[in-house]
Amino acid sequence: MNWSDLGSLAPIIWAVLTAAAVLLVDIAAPGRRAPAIATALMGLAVTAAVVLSLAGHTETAFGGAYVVDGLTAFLDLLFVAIAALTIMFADDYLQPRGLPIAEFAAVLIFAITGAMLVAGSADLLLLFVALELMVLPGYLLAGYARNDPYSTEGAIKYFLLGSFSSAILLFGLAYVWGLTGSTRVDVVAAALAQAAAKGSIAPGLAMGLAFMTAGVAFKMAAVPFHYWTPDAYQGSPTPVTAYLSVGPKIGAFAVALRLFVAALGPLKADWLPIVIVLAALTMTLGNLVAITQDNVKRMLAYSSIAHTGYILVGLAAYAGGQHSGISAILFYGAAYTFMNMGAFAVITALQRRPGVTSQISTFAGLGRRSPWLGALMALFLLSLTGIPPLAGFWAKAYVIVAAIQAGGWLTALAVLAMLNAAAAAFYYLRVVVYMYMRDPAEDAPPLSPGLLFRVGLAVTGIATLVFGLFPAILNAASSAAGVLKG
Amino acid sequence: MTALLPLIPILPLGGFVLTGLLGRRYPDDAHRIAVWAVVASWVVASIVAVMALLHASPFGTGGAGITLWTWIPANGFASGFNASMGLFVDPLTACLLIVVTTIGMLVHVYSIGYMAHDPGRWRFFAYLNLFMFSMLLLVMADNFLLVFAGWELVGLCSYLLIGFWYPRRTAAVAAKKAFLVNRIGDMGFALGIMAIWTQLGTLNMQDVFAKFGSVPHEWQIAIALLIFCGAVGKSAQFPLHVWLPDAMEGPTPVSALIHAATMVNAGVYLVARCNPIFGAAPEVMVVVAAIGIFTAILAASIAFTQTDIKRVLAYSTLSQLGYMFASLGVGAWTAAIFHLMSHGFFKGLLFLDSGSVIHSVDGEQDMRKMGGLARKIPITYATMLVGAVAISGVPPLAGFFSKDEILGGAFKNGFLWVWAIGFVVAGMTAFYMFRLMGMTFWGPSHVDPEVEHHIHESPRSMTGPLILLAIPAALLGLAIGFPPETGLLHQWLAPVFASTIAASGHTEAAYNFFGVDGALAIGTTALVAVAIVLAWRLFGVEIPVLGLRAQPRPDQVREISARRGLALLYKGSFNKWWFDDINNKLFVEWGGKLAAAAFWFDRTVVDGTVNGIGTVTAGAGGWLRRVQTGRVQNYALGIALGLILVAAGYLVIAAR
Repeated sequence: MNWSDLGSLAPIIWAVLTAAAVLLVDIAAPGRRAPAIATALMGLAVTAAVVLSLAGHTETAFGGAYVVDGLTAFLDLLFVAIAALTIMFADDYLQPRGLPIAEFAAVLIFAITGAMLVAGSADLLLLFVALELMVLPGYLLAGYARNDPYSTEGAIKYFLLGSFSSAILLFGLAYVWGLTGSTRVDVVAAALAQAAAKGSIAPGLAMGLAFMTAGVAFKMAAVPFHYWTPDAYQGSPTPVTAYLSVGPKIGAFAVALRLFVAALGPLKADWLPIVIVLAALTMTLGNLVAITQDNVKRMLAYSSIAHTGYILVGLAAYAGGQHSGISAILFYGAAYTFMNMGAFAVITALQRRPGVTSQISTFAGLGRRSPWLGALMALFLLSLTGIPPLAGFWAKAYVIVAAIQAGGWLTALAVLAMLNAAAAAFYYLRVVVYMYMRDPAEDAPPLSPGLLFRVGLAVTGIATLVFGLFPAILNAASSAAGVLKG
Repeated sequence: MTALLPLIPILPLGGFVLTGLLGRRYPDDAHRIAVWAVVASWVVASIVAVMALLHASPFGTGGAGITLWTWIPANGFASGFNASMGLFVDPLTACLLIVVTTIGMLVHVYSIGYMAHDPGRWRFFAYLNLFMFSMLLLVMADNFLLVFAGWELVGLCSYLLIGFWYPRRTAAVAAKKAFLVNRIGDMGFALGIMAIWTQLGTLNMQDVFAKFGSVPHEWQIAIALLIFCGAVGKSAQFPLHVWLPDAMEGPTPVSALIHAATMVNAGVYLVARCNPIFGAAPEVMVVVAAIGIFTAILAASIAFTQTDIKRVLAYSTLSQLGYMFASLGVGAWTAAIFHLMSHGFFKGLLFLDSGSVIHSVDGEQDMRKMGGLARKIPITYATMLVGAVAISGVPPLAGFFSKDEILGGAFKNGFLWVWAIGFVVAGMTAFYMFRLMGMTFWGPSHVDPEVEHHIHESPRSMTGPLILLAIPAALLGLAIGFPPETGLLHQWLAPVFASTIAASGHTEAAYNFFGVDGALAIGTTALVAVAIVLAWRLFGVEIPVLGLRAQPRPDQVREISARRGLALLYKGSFNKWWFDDINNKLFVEWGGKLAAAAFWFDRTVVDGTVNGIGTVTAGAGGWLRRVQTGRVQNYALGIALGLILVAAGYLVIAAR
């Protein structure tokens, strides 16, 4: 290790310092919310600036275990945005319930630190440690409402199953290490390329692949490894659900990019069929169950499973020979982050008063009670449905077209994705119908989200619109994707 | 200069957003934003249009555009599919800009008074602004995808505004009908765009036109037909004309703006814009001419007997749009745009007048319950008379020049059948318009006595636009269409159509006052005069200044319409040639039966299968629910089972 290694880690160091500073501020001014939030947001802003200052050139650190490249920068920025938005939305929910914000922000930033480490991992062991660093704070956040039994229950389940799946993933990594003799991604890839050239893979490697697939699929919440999702999502405080539905999911796809694409890329013909089946199952089951939900939070939980399925289509398209599948994954991740966090934010605004449920009836007449919130929620839902020219449309279009270009079974998968998108319109638009065609309850109190909340909501709304109209984010995604070899 | 272009559509878009968001809170004032947004847009558009029409720099003769940004970058799709967010203005677009923004602005002002008592006024203005944005996007877009976006958006606005009074069942049904019928045409247009992409690999209009010669001829025909299909839907040509008369359920300013002066012209604009495409497919041009002239006579014949004042005007719109398509089809491109412009002004005027009439008689639209209104609402009457004379084709008002060029073009380019039918339609137009004038303004009053004593002229915000529209309706022809075929408009538009006209072999021959052209004009004018006098004799007239006075003779009308041979024609016209009934039979009843059959199949076969699976699943579900009681061990078991399945999958793959 030397000083330049630390330079490469600068964004992560800044994030850790931010989290520590938040805790220190809380000690200095206990219970004061504004200083903690300000510290967290300013720290994250600096982190983003540091990421940007490093962007544009590629360097490796710690003997090649960690790499700073376009992909790392893209994902880092996304994670920082997720953390900032979550903090902006969280206080409106936590404060009325008497939950502290400083610990929340600090734990969240620690989780993001792990995710950022995942983004730059070029070593299987580091990848695993980083993944754990990302998910462990997530367990804490899921149980953040300590006095709420559902929150605690969801957190426990999430923790136990999460640990179980981490063990499975580690087991798979061990197989790979055993068969290739290295944990460095590039060395592994080279060794596997030789193995793949000989024809079929060894049964031991097949077992390793199975363990790794199952482990990563769990983190993504892909069917049939999704059991934890509904319980954890519904039990968690709503801002945490918002975070869980994007942060760990995109983290898991970062793992997929660094592990399956970078390290296991030579074996892509072997893992392609499994990914196709997983994608098909995931989007179909997620949508079918989402249709039956009357609780919007639970509905979005299942819909996030369905979106995992769509993103997996992009991964499958890569494995089918279309490199554009990777930029499609990255674009999807960015688009999904903003539109989904926005949708959760509106639920948060409705639930500002403790005791308000996220039942669909809560949304009745929202368009009249609060035109801005109603219009933005409609925007997010239309984008999640995939209506042009919003972000969600292009996200779906890019993965689906990449799959069609890859051809073969992937064409069938693309058709299935389109059918699923059509089916999903039903449950998303049902909320819009409630917002605009039903009268609000007589006693519905006025909604008055805080200033910071409004800013966050504006950011998500603008991003949802702008990603659809301006392709800048796609250009960033495709240059980031260029880092990974076809 | 081109930097100004985005302002034109963005101003009304901003108006829409602000009005939509603030309207509920400030229902009495929200319309101000919308009106001023359109006024500002009109100012900018006027500057741009004048520059473009004068072929001034940077527009020149070929037009100039601005690419705002790359909308769909080529690196997104492996096929390189791309489109830019670009606006383009050439003389043709400039003509449309003038029509759209001028009439749009006047309609906005008019609506202040017309919608004054409506609680949803802010919503109305928000929709109108959205419409303005969409229409401007449509005419200014520089690529087909963006045109299509505008195309769909105007359709959406039309739907929203026809159904503006949605608690009224007929309005809701008419809105749905307009939307569904338009889908048929839009589907064709979308397919046409896809065909263009597959053939040429670009959607930028100028590139497409430049390269269109390289497309195989059968594809040229297919693309032209598909684009025309979209135009038929949007401009309500036979057989998709059925939605437009019903669209009159919307507020009258909407009928004037969207369903007479602007949106329905989109089809004409599209065909004119795609003149290199249609020029390459002369077979399709004949189809365009045939559909156009057939719609013209069909709609005119229906307008003869309708009693709802707005429906007469709606069928008249269909008929005039038919003229424009006939003109495009025979290769008289400039004449079509000329008629588009003059028709936009006088038909917009006529609709606003009819709105003013309806306003004054408490919402009554049946002309049999009007009559004798001339003295009570003089401004409305005077302006409507100008409009009626203009559309009838009486020289020297606008309609005379534009219609004369169309008929002359058909005659000289060898489409004698188009000319013959068009000639007859000219007489029919004059007749039904003066029938309308007679029933509404002249003769004894049939107004409900209850309503009679508070008939009043409309407020100034309504009469002002009427007067302002009457001026171009009267003078536009002289101003830009004289001398015929060499007037200003021809100079402006010459570069747009020059190459297509040259390629077609037709020449825009000089107008011959003392030859064929003069003879045609005199013939048409004579027919129009006869038709007007006939209408006066049957439905009355009362213009003291000219010494004209005649009482209507309803018994004679009845007698003529009951005459053998004519009775059937009368019934056919009155029942709109049974098109709605045929459609009802064909699509609603028989289609309904097909749907019922599909429903039966779905219920018994598909549901049977699903229920069968459901029974099995329920059994499995019972077991699954035990797993899902929340016991973590069972979840872990599920994960382990999943792992085993995945592992089995990999082992199968490895064993290959």
